[in-house]
This record gives sequence, structure tokens and C-alpha cells, in this order.
Amino acid sequence: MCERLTRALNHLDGATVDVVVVGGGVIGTAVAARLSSTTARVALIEIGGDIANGGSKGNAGVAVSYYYDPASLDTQLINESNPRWEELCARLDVPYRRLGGLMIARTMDEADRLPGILADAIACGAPAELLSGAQARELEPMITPECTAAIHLSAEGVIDPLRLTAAYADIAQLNGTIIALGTKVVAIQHEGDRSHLFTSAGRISTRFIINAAGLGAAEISRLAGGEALTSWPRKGQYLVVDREFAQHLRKIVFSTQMPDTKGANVVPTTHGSALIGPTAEDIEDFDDHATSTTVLDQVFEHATTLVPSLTRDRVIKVYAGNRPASDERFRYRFDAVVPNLVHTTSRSSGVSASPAVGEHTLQLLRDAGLDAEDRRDAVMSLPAFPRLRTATAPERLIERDPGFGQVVCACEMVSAAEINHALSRPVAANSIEGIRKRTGATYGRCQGAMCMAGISFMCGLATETGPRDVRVTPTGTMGVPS
Amino acid sequence: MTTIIVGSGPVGLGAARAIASNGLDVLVIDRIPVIGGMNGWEDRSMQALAAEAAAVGARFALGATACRWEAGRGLLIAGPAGVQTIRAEHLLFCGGRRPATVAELCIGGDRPAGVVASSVAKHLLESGEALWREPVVLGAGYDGDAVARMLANVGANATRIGSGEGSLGQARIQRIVGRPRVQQVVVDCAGTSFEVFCDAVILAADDRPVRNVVGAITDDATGVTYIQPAMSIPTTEAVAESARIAIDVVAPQHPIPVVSIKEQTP
Repeated sequence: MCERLTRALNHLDGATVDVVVVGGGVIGTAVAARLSSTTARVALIEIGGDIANGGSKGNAGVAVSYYYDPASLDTQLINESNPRWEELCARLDVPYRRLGGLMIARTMDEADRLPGILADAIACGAPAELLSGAQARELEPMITPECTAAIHLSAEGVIDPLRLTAAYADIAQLNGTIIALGTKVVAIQHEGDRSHLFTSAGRISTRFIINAAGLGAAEISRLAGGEALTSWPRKGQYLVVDREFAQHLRKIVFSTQMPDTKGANVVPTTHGSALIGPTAEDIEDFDDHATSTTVLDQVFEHATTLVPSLTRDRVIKVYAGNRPASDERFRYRFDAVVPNLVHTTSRSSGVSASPAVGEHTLQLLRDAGLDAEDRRDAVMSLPAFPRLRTATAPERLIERDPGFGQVVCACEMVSAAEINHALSRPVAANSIEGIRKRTGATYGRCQGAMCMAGISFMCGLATETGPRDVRVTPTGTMGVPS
Repeated sequence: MTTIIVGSGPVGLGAARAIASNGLDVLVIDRIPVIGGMNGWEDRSMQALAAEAAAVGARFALGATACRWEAGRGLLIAGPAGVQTIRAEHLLFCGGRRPATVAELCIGGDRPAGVVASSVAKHLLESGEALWREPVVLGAGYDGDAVARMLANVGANATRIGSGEGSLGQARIQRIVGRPRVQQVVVDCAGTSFEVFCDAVILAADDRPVRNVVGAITDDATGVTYIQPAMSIPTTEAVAESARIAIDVVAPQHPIPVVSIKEQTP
């Protein structure tokens, strides 16, 4: 324990690298993964105790095929990323399904908006088709009979955004990236063409800084003496619907974007559940993840106008995530003041653009003089680890690991083998939430009532903590700290 | 004709003994490697009941979890002997009850560490360590009583919320406040809101049947019967009632065997 702690406290001290990535969300880890496969030396610093701890934690898991502005860099990066998902997710052992999405119109006003949205989508390069209500119901029989028209976006997919982030982080780690979790950047000094980051884990020197800090991006820019970025948290509240209902959904169901209302979507997840939401509430406190029963009631009511058979007793969980809203919807560019600072932040399309953001950022750095040759020996894939719930031949799994014979989370059918795998991955889970991010355990209808004690024992063993000190979230303990 | 019983508490064992004593094939599985369910494996009456069931031919697979039921095929189980499908015609689900979740109770607010289901709290408290000093226990029924007793035994000073003696009347938790650990709950009691400071929230309210076997979730699942009586039902009644239901489902033409259970001696 003591040795572990000392290592954690000082392990950055004196390190010298070519690039420091600040932020362990989906964008930061994607950038680190890409850079780590070159000869550049890379470090990743994350303030939270685990990866995917900020905006990425609340991501709804839609890998979109378009997002607003056809001429934007964001669109270009999404277009470069979108065709790659099947290959990339197979290589990174990340669940992905290209379900396609339906944006449905129920009223005349909504139907009137569809042609404009269709034109936008097509201009962005996304496959999109205008359908009648009957055609839409053929693709997704669960949508409302009131649907009069719809746009089918066939290249939309659902992805596990947490497994994606974990995979990027693992690739980065396997390729030698120094990863410092629970590490806060407190000051940044520039000296010649290098910068020194003073952190809670010691001082690290670097040629380039990547600001992928999401909600904390403005603060990192301020510390670096860069542009005054304007950004604030935008809360999205969600309800999670049981797989028993959600497994019948075939499509992502979007409400028609209207200028004056905030519509909810119904999004199947790769776990088999579905998300209802999100809201878009501009708030001030980055760490405010509170849910409101009144607001969620309204969101749920709206969702039933899209999928009328939804019932409240199928809701197994509610939560809120905060995405980084800003005056600029996305930033994938150098700072205007500090020459070695690159901003890589996006409000909503981080997951969808992440594969290409890694590539784009590397190119920006190369153009600015970073010597980064692609390495032949770089790790580019992760060994697929089977999951009891989705295995085609579960009977054979026990030969691989007897832990598959011990189901820990029965609702989500997660075995001890999968939990131990999460606890021993290159960037390992260190909390019950970390195990949930990587396996889905405790995510089901009983929300851990039947398994959280067992999981806390397993997590306690792996992190050398007891029932009191074992962490439920990256910073919150099960018992009152002694 | 095989019947699989999921759960080896009084309900599962009562059903198993009844079916086996009519000469029918029955397999009891439990995810815990010992029998007893909520009563615990040290309960002598449970040990005796399991022994009687085994004596008339009931089979046991302990430490095995029911995963997926396919009517007409059987049950996929994962256990020490591997992951395998057991052929069976009937599934009697006797997997007990669990407390309602935050979402089911429509509790808003933060989602901090320190909010735990009573089932988890009981398990952790079995270590004898006082993990919490000032916990709130939501739910004044049987389950709330049980967890409150365990908390008292480790010297914790619990506040009960919910209807019942010694609790804050007809109250519900509106909102949870705190990060990273819970600090207080906002309680609504007959239209009046007030705060209760606490270092943990134990959810022991509005218990509902456990449903975690794919294909045996909904009430109308083919080939599945759920026997999940209230937690407060006395053991003798639970055994008798489950025996009656089991025979009724599996072998209606057979007599229900005489039910007796040796009560636990202190």
C-alpha cells in the first residue's frame, strides 16, 4: 500500500516527454493512443481517478453520421471516422452496432422541418432518406402511429463509449504512454520551446501540450497563458430503460430538432438497454450531476410520444452527465497565443470524431515540427475478451478461464472472469464504477443490490482496500473513511 | 420431466422437497455455494429441509447461477462445473426479493458513494465493522428492521425513514445531497421538507421480486412460475405455501406432502 501510494504521488516527477495530453476522456485517450503509436514520447494526465470521468462518462453512445455544419472540420472528422467503426471496434474489442437512426415527425411543424434537416445531412455527406410514416414504422414498429414522416440516417451507430475510452487508454499505455490518473495540473511554465507542467504528481516537461480537458479546458488554457476560452457545463439528464423492453428496439429514435423545444431521444445501447434523454441545461457547477424527478418526468413523457409502449416501471436508473458547452462548438486547433498548446475539445461529437481527431492532432503536431514516425512495433489492437452475456458458445468459455463459471452480476450476466479482466487491464479499474464502465456490472435492473457486496470485495482485493475504503466512484468510498 | 428450482432458501427448499417426495425429478440451484438463502446456511431448519429433500431424490447444484431460460429447451447455468444448458420443462423461480432502487423510488439529487441497497449493507455489515456512524435507513418494514438491528449491533446511530414505529412517520426521501460521499437527504413528510444529515443511505423500502434470468423476467414467461413471497413471511408458512404452489404447477394430480419443518433451536 505504501509503495503503491508513493509511486502514485511522485511518479511523474522529472519526466520529459514530447507531448502531454491533459484529459483522459474519449478525445484525450484517442489522441494519446494515436500519438503513442509513433516515436514521440507521450504522457496523459487526468484529474479524475479514472478515465472517462467527465463529459465522456455521460455520453449516450451514439456514433453519429453528421452534426450540423457541412463545411466544418467537425463534419470532416466525423466523416473520416464513421466508415471505420466496424474495423476499429473489432480491433479494440469495443461493442458497436450500426443500427441506423430515425428522426421522426409527428406534427405538421415537425414534418415541415424534415426537408431542411435532410438537406443538411446530405450536404454533410451522411446517407439520409426521407420516409413516410408507414415506411418508418416498417423499419421500427415501436415508433408512434402518429409519425407522419421521418428521416432515416442509416450510418448512425451505437457504441459503448466507456469501453471505447478504456480501449484507447489501454492502447496508449501498452505503447508506453505515461498515464497519471487522479493528477491535477496546478501550474504551467514555458521555457524556450518547452513547457513544464507542475502537477499533484510532480513536474513533467514537454514540447507540446494537448488540452483535451473537456469541462476543464478553459482552466488548462488559463494556466498555460493561452486564450481565454469560454466554456460551461451543459447538463444532460437521462433515464435508462430495462433490456427486457429495450431489446425490441431496432433503431435509434430521434425527435425532430425544433428551435423552441428540447426533444428527448430513445437510444438503444450496446448493453441492450436504452437511454431516454438527454436534457440540455446550462449550469455553472462542473460537478453538479444531480437529477430532478420533475425534469425526468417531462423527459419520459416526451419519450412516450416517440415510443408509446414505454412504461415508467421499466426505468432502472437515472443519471446526469455534463458536456462542455462553449462559444465554439468544437476546437481542434492550436491556441492563438501559446505556440505549443493544442485545443482538442468538443461538446457533443467527441466519440463520433475521436478516431480522426487522433490522426488530425498528430498531423497538427508534425506540421509544427514534432518528430513522430509511425512505429512498426506499435500495439494497434487489444485481444478480444469474451463476455458471458454475448458469447455465441458460452459453454466453451470455462476452458479459457474458470471465472466464467462464476456469475457475479446476474442482471447483466457479468462473470468473475470479466471483472478480474477489468481489474487487470493495462489501465485497470480501481473502483466499483470503474468495473461498471468496463463490464456493465451493477448497471442492470437491481442496480447492484445483489452483487455490489461481492464486487466491492473483488475490487478491494485488487486495490488493497477493505470494505470501508473500497471506492464506489473514483473518489467516493463505500464506508466513512476512518 | 425435470423441474429446476432457482434459489435454495425456505421457498426453494420447500418446493424441492414437495416435488421430490412425489418421485419427480428436481434440481435446486443457488448462486451462493451453500443452501439457506435469506435464512443463512447456519440455519439448522434449512439444513434439515435440504437433507430431507436430498433424501427423496432432489439434486443440488450450488454456486451455480441461472443465466438464460429457453422454454422447450432448458436453463443455461454457469457454475463451478462449467457453463451448460440443463434440460428442464419447468422453472420455479424462488430467488427472493430485493429493495427498490433509487430510480424506482423516484429519488432525485446527487448520486454519491454511500447509497447502498439493504442487501449490500447487510452483507458488508456481516464483517462486524461499523462502516457508517449516522446512516439513514429508508423503509420501516421487515427489511428495514433487519438492517437497523445489524447497524445497532455495530454501534451505528441510524435514522429510520418510512412508516412505522420509531421512524419519521409517512416520509419519503426526495433528494440525496453530497459528493463524493452522501452528506444529507432531503425528506418530504406530509408536504413538509426537511434535511437529515447522514453518512450513508440504506435502501430497504418497497421491496420487489428479484428478476435476473433472461427469459424469466416477465410474469407471462412460458414454463416459469415465480414463488417470491413477502420477506416477512414466517419460514414455516413460506415452506408450506411454496410446496402447495410447486405441486399445483408441476404435478397437480399428486398430493401435497405433509409439511413440517424443525424450527431453529437457539
